[in-house]
Amino acid sequence: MSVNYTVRNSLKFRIGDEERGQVFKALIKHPMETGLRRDRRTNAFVPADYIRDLSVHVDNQLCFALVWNENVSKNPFLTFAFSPPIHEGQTIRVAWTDNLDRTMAHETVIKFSPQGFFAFDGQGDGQPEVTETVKVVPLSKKDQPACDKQVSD
Amino acid sequence: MRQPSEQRRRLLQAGLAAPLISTLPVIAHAAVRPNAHVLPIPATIQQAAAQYFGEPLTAVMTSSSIALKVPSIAENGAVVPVTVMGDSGIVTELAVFVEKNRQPLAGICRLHNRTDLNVGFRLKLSRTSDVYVIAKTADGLIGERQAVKVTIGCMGG
Repeated sequence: MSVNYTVRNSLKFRIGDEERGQVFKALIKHPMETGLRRDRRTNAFVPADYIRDLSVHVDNQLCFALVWNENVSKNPFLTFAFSPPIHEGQTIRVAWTDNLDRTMAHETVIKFSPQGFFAFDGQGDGQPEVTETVKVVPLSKKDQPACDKQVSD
Repeated sequence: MRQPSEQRRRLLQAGLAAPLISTLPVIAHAAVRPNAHVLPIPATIQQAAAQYFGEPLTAVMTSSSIALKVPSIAENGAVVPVTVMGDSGIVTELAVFVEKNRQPLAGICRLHNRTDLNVGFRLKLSRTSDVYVIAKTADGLIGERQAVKVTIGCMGG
Protein backbone atom coordinates (compact mmCIF):
# COMPACT_ATOMS: atom_id res chain seq x y z
CA MET A 1 0.00 0.00 0.00
CA SER A 2 2.41 2.64 -1.17
CA VAL A 3 1.34 6.22 -1.04
CA ASN A 4 2.96 8.74 -3.29
CA TYR A 5 0.34 11.44 -3.68
CA THR A 6 1.28 13.75 -0.89
CA VAL A 7 -0.96 16.75 -1.18
CA ARG A 8 -1.95 17.80 2.29
CA ASN A 9 -5.50 17.03 3.42
CA SER A 10 -6.25 15.36 0.14
CA LEU A 11 -8.88 13.03 1.54
CA LYS A 12 -11.73 13.84 3.85
CA PHE A 13 -14.50 11.46 4.61
CA ARG A 14 -17.39 11.13 6.98
CA ILE A 15 -19.62 8.24 7.92
CA GLY A 16 -22.91 9.20 9.45
CA ASP A 17 -26.52 8.21 9.67
CA GLU A 18 -29.03 9.78 7.34
CA GLU A 19 -32.51 8.87 6.19
CA ARG A 20 -31.12 6.70 3.46
CA GLY A 21 -29.00 4.67 5.84
CA GLN A 22 -25.44 4.94 6.98
CA VAL A 23 -23.83 7.18 4.42
CA PHE A 24 -20.21 7.47 3.43
CA LYS A 25 -19.25 10.82 1.97
CA ALA A 26 -15.76 11.61 0.75
CA LEU A 27 -14.16 14.67 -0.75
CA ILE A 28 -10.85 14.15 -2.45
CA LYS A 29 -8.60 16.98 -3.50
CA HIS A 30 -7.41 16.18 -6.96
CA PRO A 31 -7.18 18.31 -10.12
CA MET A 32 -9.00 15.79 -12.35
CA GLU A 33 -7.70 17.34 -15.53
CA THR A 34 -9.36 16.14 -18.68
CA GLY A 35 -6.40 16.65 -20.93
CA LEU A 36 -8.54 18.86 -23.16
CA ARG A 37 -8.07 22.13 -21.35
CA ARG A 38 -5.50 24.56 -22.63
CA ASP A 39 -3.14 26.46 -20.44
CA ARG A 40 -4.09 30.08 -20.87
CA ARG A 41 -0.51 31.31 -21.17
CA THR A 42 1.33 28.65 -23.13
CA ASN A 43 -1.70 27.44 -25.12
CA ALA A 44 -0.57 23.87 -24.68
CA PHE A 45 -2.94 21.18 -23.44
CA VAL A 46 -2.79 20.63 -19.73
CA PRO A 47 -2.07 16.91 -19.47
CA ALA A 48 -4.76 14.57 -18.23
CA ASP A 49 -4.52 13.90 -14.54
CA TYR A 50 -7.50 12.12 -13.04
CA ILE A 51 -8.28 9.46 -10.52
CA ARG A 52 -8.70 6.19 -12.27
CA ASP A 53 -9.79 3.76 -9.65
CA LEU A 54 -10.88 4.03 -6.11
CA SER A 55 -11.72 1.31 -3.66
CA VAL A 56 -13.14 1.18 -0.19
CA HIS A 57 -12.36 -1.80 2.01
CA VAL A 58 -13.95 -2.54 5.36
CA ASP A 59 -12.00 -5.01 7.50
CA ASN A 60 -9.92 -5.93 4.46
CA GLN A 61 -12.97 -6.89 2.46
CA LEU A 62 -13.65 -4.94 -0.69
CA CYS A 63 -16.91 -3.03 -0.32
CA PHE A 64 -17.01 -0.61 -3.12
CA ALA A 65 -14.95 -0.22 -6.24
CA LEU A 66 -15.16 2.70 -8.58
CA VAL A 67 -13.59 3.37 -11.92
CA TRP A 68 -13.53 6.98 -12.98
CA ASN A 69 -12.10 8.89 -15.87
CA GLU A 70 -11.70 12.49 -16.91
CA ASN A 71 -15.46 13.11 -16.86
CA VAL A 72 -15.56 13.49 -13.10
CA SER A 73 -15.31 16.93 -11.57
CA LYS A 74 -12.30 18.45 -9.98
CA ASN A 75 -11.98 17.66 -6.28
CA PRO A 76 -14.32 14.71 -6.64
CA PHE A 77 -17.07 14.05 -4.21
CA LEU A 78 -18.31 10.54 -3.63
CA THR A 79 -21.16 9.20 -1.60
CA PHE A 80 -22.67 5.79 -1.04
CA ALA A 81 -24.53 3.97 1.69
CA PHE A 82 -23.49 1.07 3.85
CA SER A 83 -25.95 -1.66 4.63
CA PRO A 84 -25.64 -3.27 7.12
CA PRO A 85 -24.17 -0.24 8.88
CA ILE A 86 -20.58 -0.22 9.97
CA HIS A 87 -19.94 -0.39 13.65
CA GLU A 88 -17.11 0.84 15.82
CA GLY A 89 -13.80 -0.91 15.77
CA GLN A 90 -13.95 -1.86 12.12
CA THR A 91 -11.17 -0.74 9.88
CA ILE A 92 -11.95 1.25 6.79
CA ARG A 93 -9.47 1.80 4.01
CA VAL A 94 -9.95 4.21 1.14
CA ALA A 95 -7.41 3.93 -1.66
CA TRP A 96 -7.19 5.42 -5.08
CA THR A 97 -4.84 5.40 -8.06
CA ASP A 98 -4.71 7.99 -10.76
CA ASN A 99 -3.74 7.80 -14.39
CA LEU A 100 -0.25 9.13 -13.68
CA ASP A 101 0.17 6.14 -11.36
CA ARG A 102 0.11 8.07 -8.16
CA THR A 103 -1.56 6.27 -5.31
CA MET A 104 -3.14 7.39 -2.13
CA ALA A 105 -4.48 5.20 0.61
CA HIS A 106 -5.68 5.77 4.08
CA GLU A 107 -6.68 3.21 6.62
CA THR A 108 -8.32 4.03 9.89
CA VAL A 109 -10.33 2.44 12.66
CA ILE A 110 -13.87 3.65 13.06
CA LYS A 111 -14.74 5.36 16.28
CA PHE A 112 -17.99 7.24 16.44
CA SER A 113 -18.13 10.64 18.04
CA PRO A 114 -20.75 11.34 20.72
CA GLN A 115 -22.93 12.87 17.99
CA GLY A 116 -22.93 9.55 16.18
CA PHE A 117 -20.70 10.08 13.18
CA PHE A 118 -17.13 9.37 12.19
CA ALA A 119 -15.15 12.04 10.39
CA PHE A 120 -11.66 11.92 8.99
CA ASP A 121 -10.52 15.38 8.08
CA GLY A 122 -7.48 14.74 6.00
CA GLN A 123 -3.86 13.97 6.56
CA GLY A 124 -2.15 16.77 8.38
CA ASP A 125 1.23 16.34 6.74
CA GLY A 126 2.30 16.54 3.17
CA GLN A 127 2.77 19.26 0.65
CA PRO A 128 0.19 21.97 0.30
CA GLU A 129 -1.84 21.84 -2.87
CA VAL A 130 -0.28 23.94 -5.60
CA THR A 131 -2.70 26.57 -6.76
CA GLU A 132 -1.60 28.59 -9.69
CA THR A 133 -2.26 32.28 -9.49
CA VAL A 134 -2.95 33.45 -13.00
CA LYS A 135 -4.18 36.88 -13.84
CA VAL A 136 -7.67 36.40 -15.16
CA VAL A 137 -8.11 38.04 -18.53
CA PRO A 138 -11.70 38.28 -19.74
CA LEU A 139 -12.21 36.28 -22.90
CA SER A 140 -13.16 38.07 -26.06
CA LYS A 141 -16.49 37.16 -27.64
CA LYS A 142 -15.04 34.69 -30.10
CA ASP A 143 -13.07 32.83 -27.43
CA GLN A 144 -16.06 32.10 -25.26
CA PRO A 145 -16.83 28.42 -24.86
CA ALA A 146 -19.71 27.07 -26.85
CA CYS A 147 -22.41 26.74 -24.22
CA ASP A 148 -26.10 26.93 -24.71
CA LYS A 149 -27.06 30.44 -23.82
CA GLN A 150 -30.80 29.91 -23.56
CA VAL A 151 -32.25 28.35 -20.50
CA SER A 152 -35.86 27.86 -21.57
CA ASP A 153 -36.43 25.98 -24.76
CA MET B 1 5.38 33.06 -9.42
CA ARG B 2 8.36 31.08 -10.40
CA GLN B 3 7.56 27.88 -8.61
CA PRO B 4 4.16 26.98 -10.10
CA SER B 5 5.30 27.62 -13.68
CA GLU B 6 8.30 25.33 -13.27
CA GLN B 7 6.06 22.65 -11.94
CA ARG B 8 3.73 23.16 -14.88
CA ARG B 9 6.60 22.88 -17.33
CA ARG B 10 7.69 19.64 -15.75
CA LEU B 11 4.12 18.37 -15.86
CA LEU B 12 3.85 19.23 -19.55
CA GLN B 13 7.09 17.46 -20.30
CA ALA B 14 5.89 14.42 -18.42
CA GLY B 15 2.58 14.60 -20.27
CA LEU B 16 4.27 14.59 -23.67
CA ALA B 17 6.40 11.66 -22.68
CA ALA B 18 3.36 9.64 -21.59
CA PRO B 19 2.09 6.99 -23.99
CA LEU B 20 -0.52 8.14 -26.48
CA ILE B 21 -3.10 5.49 -25.68
CA SER B 22 -3.90 5.14 -22.04
CA THR B 23 -5.00 1.67 -21.14
CA LEU B 24 -7.18 0.87 -18.18
CA PRO B 25 -5.29 -1.29 -15.74
CA VAL B 26 -6.87 -4.69 -15.36
CA ILE B 27 -8.88 -4.57 -12.18
CA ALA B 28 -9.79 -7.92 -10.82
CA HIS B 29 -13.07 -6.72 -9.42
CA ALA B 30 -14.49 -5.10 -12.55
CA ALA B 31 -16.67 -7.22 -14.76
CA VAL B 32 -16.69 -4.48 -17.37
CA ARG B 33 -14.17 -5.13 -20.07
CA PRO B 34 -10.72 -4.00 -18.94
CA ASN B 35 -9.95 -2.20 -22.15
CA ALA B 36 -12.89 0.16 -21.84
CA HIS B 37 -10.74 3.22 -22.36
CA VAL B 38 -9.36 2.22 -25.70
CA LEU B 39 -12.60 1.13 -27.31
CA PRO B 40 -14.12 3.48 -29.88
CA ILE B 41 -16.49 6.02 -28.48
CA PRO B 42 -20.09 4.80 -28.62
CA ALA B 43 -22.58 6.90 -30.52
CA THR B 44 -25.70 5.75 -28.77
CA ILE B 45 -26.69 4.19 -25.52
CA GLN B 46 -27.12 0.85 -27.27
CA GLN B 47 -23.57 0.91 -28.50
CA ALA B 48 -22.35 1.93 -25.08
CA ALA B 49 -24.06 -1.04 -23.50
CA ALA B 50 -22.73 -3.38 -26.13
CA GLN B 51 -19.19 -2.12 -25.76
CA TYR B 52 -18.82 -1.88 -22.06
CA PHE B 53 -21.00 -4.74 -20.96
CA GLY B 54 -21.06 -6.94 -24.01
CA GLU B 55 -24.81 -7.38 -23.86
CA PRO B 56 -27.71 -5.59 -25.50
CA LEU B 57 -30.07 -3.49 -23.39
CA THR B 58 -33.23 -5.25 -22.34
CA ALA B 59 -35.15 -2.29 -20.99
CA VAL B 60 -34.42 1.34 -21.71
CA MET B 61 -35.64 4.27 -19.65
CA THR B 62 -38.52 2.67 -17.85
CA SER B 63 -37.22 0.60 -15.06
CA SER B 64 -38.23 0.68 -11.46
CA SER B 65 -35.11 -1.01 -10.20
CA ILE B 66 -32.90 2.00 -10.57
CA ALA B 67 -33.53 5.70 -10.33
CA LEU B 68 -31.24 8.32 -11.76
CA LYS B 69 -31.27 11.67 -10.06
CA VAL B 70 -29.51 14.46 -11.89
CA PRO B 71 -30.63 18.10 -12.19
CA SER B 72 -32.39 18.93 -15.43
CA ILE B 73 -30.66 22.32 -15.54
CA ALA B 74 -27.11 22.29 -14.29
CA GLU B 75 -25.92 25.49 -12.71
CA ASN B 76 -22.32 24.64 -13.42
CA GLY B 77 -21.39 22.22 -16.14
CA ALA B 78 -18.16 21.33 -14.43
CA VAL B 79 -19.92 20.06 -11.33
CA VAL B 80 -23.13 18.17 -12.02
CA PRO B 81 -24.18 15.91 -9.15
CA VAL B 82 -25.55 12.57 -10.18
CA THR B 83 -27.07 10.02 -7.86
CA VAL B 84 -28.13 6.52 -8.73
CA MET B 85 -30.47 4.81 -6.32
CA GLY B 86 -31.97 1.41 -6.48
CA ASP B 87 -32.18 -2.08 -5.21
CA SER B 88 -28.72 -3.45 -4.51
CA GLY B 89 -30.04 -6.99 -4.37
CA ILE B 90 -30.73 -6.83 -8.08
CA VAL B 91 -28.03 -4.54 -9.42
CA THR B 92 -24.41 -5.54 -9.11
CA GLU B 93 -22.70 -3.00 -11.25
CA LEU B 94 -23.49 0.22 -12.98
CA ALA B 95 -21.90 2.56 -15.47
CA VAL B 96 -22.68 6.24 -15.87
CA PHE B 97 -22.33 7.91 -19.25
CA VAL B 98 -22.50 11.47 -20.47
CA GLU B 99 -23.66 11.32 -24.04
CA LYS B 100 -21.99 14.29 -25.63
CA ASN B 101 -18.67 14.34 -23.87
CA ARG B 102 -15.60 13.41 -25.79
CA GLN B 103 -15.38 10.18 -23.83
CA PRO B 104 -18.93 9.23 -22.83
CA LEU B 105 -18.03 6.87 -20.02
CA ALA B 106 -17.95 8.76 -16.75
CA GLY B 107 -17.74 6.13 -14.09
CA ILE B 108 -18.24 2.48 -13.27
CA CYS B 109 -19.33 1.41 -9.80
CA ARG B 110 -19.11 -2.10 -8.57
CA LEU B 111 -21.00 -2.90 -5.42
CA HIS B 112 -19.90 -5.61 -3.08
CA ASN B 113 -21.26 -7.04 0.09
CA ARG B 114 -21.81 -4.09 2.36
CA THR B 115 -22.99 -1.37 0.08
CA ASP B 116 -26.42 -0.19 -0.83
CA LEU B 117 -27.16 1.11 -4.27
CA ASN B 118 -27.18 4.76 -3.39
CA VAL B 119 -24.17 6.12 -5.17
CA GLY B 120 -23.43 9.70 -6.03
CA PHE B 121 -20.62 11.68 -7.52
CA ARG B 122 -20.15 14.75 -9.67
CA LEU B 123 -19.69 14.89 -13.40
CA LYS B 124 -18.30 17.30 -15.90
CA LEU B 125 -20.50 18.04 -18.86
CA SER B 126 -19.04 19.66 -21.92
CA ARG B 127 -22.43 20.77 -23.30
CA THR B 128 -26.10 20.11 -22.91
CA SER B 129 -26.49 16.38 -23.21
CA ASP B 130 -28.07 13.31 -21.73
CA VAL B 131 -26.72 11.56 -18.74
CA TYR B 132 -27.53 7.92 -18.64
CA VAL B 133 -26.82 5.03 -16.38
CA ILE B 134 -26.69 1.40 -17.41
CA ALA B 135 -26.97 -1.13 -14.65
CA LYS B 136 -26.13 -4.78 -14.82
CA THR B 137 -28.66 -7.09 -13.24
CA ALA B 138 -29.08 -10.81 -13.21
CA ASP B 139 -31.69 -10.53 -15.95
CA GLY B 140 -29.66 -8.33 -18.25
CA LEU B 141 -28.98 -4.65 -18.55
CA ILE B 142 -31.32 -1.82 -17.64
CA GLY B 143 -30.85 1.80 -18.50
CA GLU B 144 -32.14 5.14 -17.33
CA ARG B 145 -31.53 8.51 -18.95
CA GLN B 146 -32.07 12.16 -18.18
CA ALA B 147 -31.38 15.26 -20.24
CA VAL B 148 -29.28 17.93 -18.58
CA LYS B 149 -29.07 21.50 -19.82
CA VAL B 150 -25.83 23.30 -19.21
CA THR B 151 -25.64 27.05 -19.37
CA ILE B 152 -22.31 28.01 -17.86
CA GLY B 153 -19.06 26.35 -17.01
CA CYS B 154 -18.71 24.10 -20.01
CA MET B 155 -15.62 22.01 -20.39
CA GLY B 156 -13.53 22.69 -23.43
CA GLY B 157 -12.07 25.60 -25.26
